[in-house]
Amino acid sequence: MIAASKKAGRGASVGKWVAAAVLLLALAGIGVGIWLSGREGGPTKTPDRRQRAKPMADLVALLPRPGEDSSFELVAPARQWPAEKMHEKIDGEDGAYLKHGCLGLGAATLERRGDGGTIDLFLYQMTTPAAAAAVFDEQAPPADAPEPRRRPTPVDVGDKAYVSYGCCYVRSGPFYLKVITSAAVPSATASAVGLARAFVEKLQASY
Amino acid sequence: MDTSSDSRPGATRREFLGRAASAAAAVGAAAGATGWLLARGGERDEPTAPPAFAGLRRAQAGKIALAETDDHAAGVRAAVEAIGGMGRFVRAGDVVFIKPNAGFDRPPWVGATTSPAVVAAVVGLCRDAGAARVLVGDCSINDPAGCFRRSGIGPAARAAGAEVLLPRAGDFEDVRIGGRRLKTWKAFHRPFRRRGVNCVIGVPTAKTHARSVISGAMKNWYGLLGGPRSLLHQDIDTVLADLCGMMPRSLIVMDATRLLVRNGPTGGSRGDVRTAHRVLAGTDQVAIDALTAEWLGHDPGRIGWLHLAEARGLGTTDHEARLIEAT
Amino acid sequence: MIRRIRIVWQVFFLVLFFVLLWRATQLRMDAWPVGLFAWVDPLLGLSATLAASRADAWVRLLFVAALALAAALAVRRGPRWRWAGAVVAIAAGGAYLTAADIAFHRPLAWGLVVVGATIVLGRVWCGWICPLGTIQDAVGRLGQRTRTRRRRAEVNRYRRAYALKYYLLVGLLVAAVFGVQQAGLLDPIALLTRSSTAVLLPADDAAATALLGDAAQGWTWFPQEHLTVGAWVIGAVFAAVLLAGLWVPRLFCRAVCPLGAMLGVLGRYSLFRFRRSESACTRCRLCDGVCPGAAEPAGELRTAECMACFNCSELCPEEAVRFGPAAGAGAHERPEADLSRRGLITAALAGFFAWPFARRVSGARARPSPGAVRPPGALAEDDFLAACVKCHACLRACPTNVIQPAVAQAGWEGFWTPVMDFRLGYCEYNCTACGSACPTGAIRAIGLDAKHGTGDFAGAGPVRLGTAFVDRGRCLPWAMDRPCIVCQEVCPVSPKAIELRRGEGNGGQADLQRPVVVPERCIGCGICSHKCPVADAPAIYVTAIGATRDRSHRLAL
Repeated sequence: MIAASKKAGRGASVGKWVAAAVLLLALAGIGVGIWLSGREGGPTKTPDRRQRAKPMADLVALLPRPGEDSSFELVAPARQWPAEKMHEKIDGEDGAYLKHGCLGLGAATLERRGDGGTIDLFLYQMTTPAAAAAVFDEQAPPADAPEPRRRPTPVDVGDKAYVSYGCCYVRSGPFYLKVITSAAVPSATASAVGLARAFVEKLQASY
Repeated sequence: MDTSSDSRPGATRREFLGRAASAAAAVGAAAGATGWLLARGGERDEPTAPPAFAGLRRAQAGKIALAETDDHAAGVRAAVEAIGGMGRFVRAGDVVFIKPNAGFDRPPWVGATTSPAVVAAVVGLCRDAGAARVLVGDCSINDPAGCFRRSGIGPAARAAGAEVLLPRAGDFEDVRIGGRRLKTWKAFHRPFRRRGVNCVIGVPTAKTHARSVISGAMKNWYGLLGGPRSLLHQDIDTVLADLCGMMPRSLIVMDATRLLVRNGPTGGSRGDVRTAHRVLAGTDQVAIDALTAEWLGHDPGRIGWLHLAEARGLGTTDHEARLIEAT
Repeated sequence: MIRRIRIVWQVFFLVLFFVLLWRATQLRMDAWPVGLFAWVDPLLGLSATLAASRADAWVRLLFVAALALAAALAVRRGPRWRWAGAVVAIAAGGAYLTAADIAFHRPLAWGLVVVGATIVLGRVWCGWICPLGTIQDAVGRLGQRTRTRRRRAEVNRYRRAYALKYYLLVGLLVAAVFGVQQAGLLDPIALLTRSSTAVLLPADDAAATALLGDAAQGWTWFPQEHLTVGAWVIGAVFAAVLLAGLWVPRLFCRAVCPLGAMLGVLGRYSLFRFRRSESACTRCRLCDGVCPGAAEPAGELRTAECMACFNCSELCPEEAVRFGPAAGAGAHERPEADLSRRGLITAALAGFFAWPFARRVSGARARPSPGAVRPPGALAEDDFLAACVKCHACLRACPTNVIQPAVAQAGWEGFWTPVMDFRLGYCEYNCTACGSACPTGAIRAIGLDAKHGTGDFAGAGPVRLGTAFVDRGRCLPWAMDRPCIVCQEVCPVSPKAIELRRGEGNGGQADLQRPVVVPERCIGCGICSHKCPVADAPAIYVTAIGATRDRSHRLAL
């Protein structure tokens, strides 16, 4: 048996070497191809192709800045997070936005000189205007809420907006902006509405 | 045909004696074995007493601290600091077991599991206090591997330097709980013995629950039980008081960063969860659960297991007397 | 040397099979193509596509008649008759494609790669790729080791009984044309996946856990201890295949495997074949002794049985057997299999007579079977039975062990198709692993939005597997005034599908809470049933009525 196979092996021609090389390369190619195809996606990740398809806008640039004559100023640079990293800023709450389809979050904090009152800005870019409307309606308090200061007071900004507890909530197109004041005093509320208006203007200017 | 045996009767006798000796040995072995079995008696020996969750560090009952801040990890640190710091509970070289609520295969926003940031913060504090090993485990209701992954607790704990223990069938053994209803019950105890755990920290999350009104620090210990634990709902008040007695005066870090106020303990809708940004730390499980019940909108006076635990001297429902604010 | 490379290929694909099987569980799957072997298996693709196609009865009959004509033409010796038969078969296939409503599961197109390779090179799948073939090769070598060369050649003689696989293939394919899908019972990939899931993988896990204890965590095939009900039958079939291979090498491949038969039919006139040169041959019969397909290279080489393994050509001391382009009617070659007309007709009729007993026909007025609760994403019952090849990839992927092989719950056609057994597990709310693992699309690969009825699917509502029913005669609060409601606690939907009625009881103490199922919210996941403390026959149980996959299962308005 051994002698027989030795004799057979001696006669290996160039053709056989070429064939052998091709076969081994093909095998390697199959293996690499399978390994590469296995890397992205999968059943444990909630698929939302809409999120992957659209890129996030420059939310830091879209965030409204306080005007020259405003008593507020920006403390620390504004930041933005893509959808999958939103939990770093709003741990636990990101699901409420991802559920409808969200591309990312931009946030900034303003502080008033003097009394240290703050305004927090949260700008969410949803995938579609419908998604922005859905999350806007979901978070709006009911008109007959027991606490009067909580009841939404509509304001004429953007597609739809209201003031509740001194904070201003506005949606425009696929964007949803929350302007959260630290105190429900009229001056803070006025600044909040002013920031919301500035945001909508900046947004419409960028079209 | 062998004629040599005919001509050598001595050889034949030798052969016979040899065979007789082998036979005697075989019979003797059988007789010996039988005799030994008879001597041992018909009954099995009395089983040794089952082990208990023993050798775990206990602290003096004291204040409970409340931290309220957006930065949840800082809140955990502040709350623990306010009751004396982690060094009161964890000594250098300790093997710490952290019991979060990883009961359900849900993402963090659902509010059914402990927030991963809070778990990671507790792990960090233990390691800073010099713990030799930090273990994180829970006997989840859903598949444990999925629960730890999707709740984010698994990756967060590992990143903070802890080891995640996923329960397997062989990890459960009968444990003396010493309660009124739970005298002896199958529990997740073998890893405690194997790894030499000498400190347990409970890190529950605040949820409502149709059977027990709320799920807090005392209900969190349910996740150490095995066996047919769904039977325990028939006397849940006594069982929860027993669980409190199983782990008395252990450090509790209550994750109230968000409250599951409806459809507990599983949640599922955005409207079921309310953000609160609060963390409670303390060793008085009764006070912690009483305060948590109020936050969840329930009157602690109407919760049976709180009264039972208080009556047994395991804590006080007068949380206001105990409460301090963490700076 | 080519022979050694073939062995490398065999080992590679055997290892790849188990690597993909390792990945084929919920938390490891990511986007790995875990169904790859089933996708490239042309028998599964053809059988599933035929069975799932919708056509009038007369269209199916005409199609089978046309194929019978093609076969009758092709069985005559003579190239022109064979070409005529091939043309008729292709025309019939084309006509059927246009006349029937065919839902083709895209990944199954990979089967064309194997078909193409077979037409060019012969049965390279059997010799180079098939993992069951590789296992049998190993077993066969073991069996052959102590035999003399003469005995080996004797054992590898072609037997008339080896024609059985062609009859089985005809029977299975004719049954498939009439909507009855049973190819998975004998297909090698389905068989090996099934046997692995039921026997091999759990045995390995048990051994690893026993030997390594804690260190085995993260290195087990299944996340938790896995049990397949009735695994002993699946294991017995697998053991029989292996034992048969010890006695006669690759006996399953030679005599039973319908995929081998299909590739034999396709490859018998392959462009490249093995041929023996009469002048160089010394009749030593070494080649016969090492031929796995019983193709008798030392005599008239049966091309339809040849597995292109290169054993004969490379072990022949005289290099008398060579692999090369076919040249006309080859000498000492026997492409056709020895099939008797009677045998073929019998097989076709057997396949045809599955039709009247199929659910499509006989079950038309039957009620849904309560025990046939299928995994989330499963097709409606008729379509499901047509597409499911019983490979048990879904059993393997499921993290809670709830999917089990049906015995009687889904009728004779549904034997070994997946159904849920809530005594062993429940459907995990946030999991869609079964659909991602199913290679033929019998369980669709739905995402979580589709499963929960959120996002894009909010209008359609969630996928329901069935409905839960409370047995008030056994439920503790209803029957015995004892508090419980574990079912309500674990119900995953929000708002919960179990509501609580207040009642008096609990020894006169607090309010007694009694569970009531809300069918509009219940998704039939079965966790309530699984956790019910009345463990022997749970007081809350799920049956198939109310499942969304099939209109006949409708319950609530």
